[in-house]
Amino acid sequence: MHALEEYGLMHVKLYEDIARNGHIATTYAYPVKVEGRYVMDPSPTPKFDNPKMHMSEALQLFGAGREKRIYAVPPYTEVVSLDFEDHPFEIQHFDKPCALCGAEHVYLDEVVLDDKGGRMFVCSDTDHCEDRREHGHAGHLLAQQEAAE
Amino acid sequence: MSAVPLLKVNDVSKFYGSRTGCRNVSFELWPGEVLAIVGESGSGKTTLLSCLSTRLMPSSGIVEYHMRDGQYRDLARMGEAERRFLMRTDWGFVHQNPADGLRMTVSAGANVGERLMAVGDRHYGNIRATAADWLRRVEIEEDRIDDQPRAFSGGMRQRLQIARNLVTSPRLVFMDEPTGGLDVSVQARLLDLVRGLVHDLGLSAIIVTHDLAVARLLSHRMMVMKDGLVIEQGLTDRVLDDPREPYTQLLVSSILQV
Repeated sequence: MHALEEYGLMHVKLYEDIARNGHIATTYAYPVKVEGRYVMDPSPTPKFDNPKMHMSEALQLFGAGREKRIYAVPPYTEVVSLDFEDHPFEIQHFDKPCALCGAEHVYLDEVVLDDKGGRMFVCSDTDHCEDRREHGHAGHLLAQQEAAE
Repeated sequence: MSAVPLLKVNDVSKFYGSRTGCRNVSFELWPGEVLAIVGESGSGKTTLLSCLSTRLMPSSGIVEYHMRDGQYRDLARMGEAERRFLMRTDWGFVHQNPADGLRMTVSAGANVGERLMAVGDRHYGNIRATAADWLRRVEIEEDRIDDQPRAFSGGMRQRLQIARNLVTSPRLVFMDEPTGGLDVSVQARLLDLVRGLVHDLGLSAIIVTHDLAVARLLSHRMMVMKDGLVIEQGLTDRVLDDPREPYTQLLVSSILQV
């Protein structure tokens, strides 16, 4: 597949996504093209982080244990997510900042709070979230809680 | 028809160990021409087709193809990547069993669109419109575009396979018993469809069949094979109406006249 540069099948997968869901519904293991040549699966990183791989300063290592495979993306390498011209690659957007630390432009997880439809969106990176709270940042839920106490 | 052949086959043989697949086959295929290879099972016709379409490497002999840039290329000497590219752009291969030529678990639209995406088409709307157009041309309802071929009847699958192959406007299509597993009325419609498409698109085709009726309807020229050898070739009407070889006479006379 790599030697012959036969990557048509990756777009077939994205095509199926649009045909079924009206948009590209793949949210992780989203295929990227590296340096205009190799298509790679950056699983398990969510596609939210795909743009960060582009021209990254870091050496990125990926392993697929069961397939006995390890691969790497060198620093400062072009990494572009595959897409269609009329359905361009998009990352998730969140309407509100993190409910606990108020961070914006981070990936949020949805947490169900009760059985009456209550829910909150909090940082997926809990360490980063705690760190921020220790430094005095507070989201709206934390602020409410403090007000109640 | 232009002045040079599309495919030049020179003395092609294929041996499986000491067994003979096909032996000393030579012919030329011209642009727009449909050639039928007929013979009973085991006569080497599928082996020959595989050798021509690079699915098998011939034991000896040369197959040359007239590329779009006007050069003749020896297929055996082409690189794998180049050959694969040729196969998914300029050529088509219609299998007897549609399941071999289709992706059964992706939608009909994606099946037709795959070749387009493989050659770099990146506009979803255009790919879908082309796929819908091709479904219409092979008489499949447009609202079946998101259905998987698993949900299609045998005849529809075969038509879908044809659409999938023709979408990149190939110049040469190989067909291995394209009407093999279909019932008679579906066969007739499919043959009619293929004949129309071949005529409209100016395709060249090589069709392997054991069914002389298929050869009669579709092909301009035919080759009769027996035990790996081409024993008779000529214009289809001539071979069928006035067979010279005893074996061909037997073959022709064994058809039921209706």
